[in-house]
Amino acid sequence: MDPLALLCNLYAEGPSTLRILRRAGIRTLRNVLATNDWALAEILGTSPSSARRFAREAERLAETATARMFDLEESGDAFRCA
Amino acid sequence: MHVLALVNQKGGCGKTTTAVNLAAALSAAGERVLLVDLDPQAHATLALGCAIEDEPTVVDVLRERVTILETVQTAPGGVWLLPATAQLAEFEEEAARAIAPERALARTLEECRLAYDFAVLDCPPRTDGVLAANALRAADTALLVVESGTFALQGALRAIDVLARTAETLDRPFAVRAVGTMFDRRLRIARELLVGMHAQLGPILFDTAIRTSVRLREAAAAGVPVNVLDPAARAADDFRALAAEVRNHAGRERGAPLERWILAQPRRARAARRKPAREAPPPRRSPPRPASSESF
Repeated sequence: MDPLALLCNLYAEGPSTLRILRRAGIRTLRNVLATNDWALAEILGTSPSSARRFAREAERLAETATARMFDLEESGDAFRCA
Repeated sequence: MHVLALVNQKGGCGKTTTAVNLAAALSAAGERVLLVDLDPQAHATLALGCAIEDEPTVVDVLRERVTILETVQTAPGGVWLLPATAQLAEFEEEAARAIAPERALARTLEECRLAYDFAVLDCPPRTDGVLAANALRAADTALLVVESGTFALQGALRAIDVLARTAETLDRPFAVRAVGTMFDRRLRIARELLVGMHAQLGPILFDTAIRTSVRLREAAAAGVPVNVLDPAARAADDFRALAAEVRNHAGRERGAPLERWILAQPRRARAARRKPAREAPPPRRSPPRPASSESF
């Protein structure tokens, strides 16, 4: 699952939000963080405060994902190609 | 034809709901879809409002008395259904006396490979019986259906292990993908579980998580897929998105070799890869010249 899809499933309307974001050129969590709240609100069709909350969750998820990737690399415990 | 087997050892995780609605969503996207009910409980047959009396069913196909094309019924949502009845349980018992009973479905599906774009197999809630063996032997992709509930992740990891071991014994490779179902983002446990699934299953997990919806229950009760009952429902949107991902996955699988994450490969193929490269074959002899008057 793409991290952006995970964000949309957890904190928005799942596939419809994912479609809207991708159509607007937002394809990664980094892209979400790089978009200002007003622009994000306009893309999502929500208030700037909701967009800010969405971006905050994206930030949190990005941090977790980075930490997890680091853990996996350290332990070598990632799924590998069979 | 891409054969998709929906599996999980656990019952009540949304396999049948996913099979029926995914089949209908694929059909709505323009694909020719065969839905095979391989569960003796026949829930997929019931969910599509089909009442079976004396007509042949999937058990007759597995016994090779009739062909798939003689047995299929048209069902709501533009799906062709290979229905089941409780008689299917008898096939498990007969299988002990049959020769290679686990190959029956693959053989019969081969006959109608050109008639359909997708075959969606709704498997029984176990992976050790002859029905599941039939499904996995015929499958191009095993789609693991994982509900967003307690212990689901442990169950999913165990199921992936079982699938990988099953694939080792088959001559035919199949890819493993997973989809989350019964997701309710208002529940903290469901959110945590989805994050866990994302961490553990990574790229084998489809982007779409199927959300809980009353519409899904209403559709099953009405005997139609959710996109027929209410095309604007969010459940219908979820299955549309999942169908788009499945089509994309199937397209890639057709075009590229199955060389990706958690990819089941037969033991023979893997052993062949590990072997050192052979010596170059001796140069081919030039063919004898044709006899002609100018040859000397």
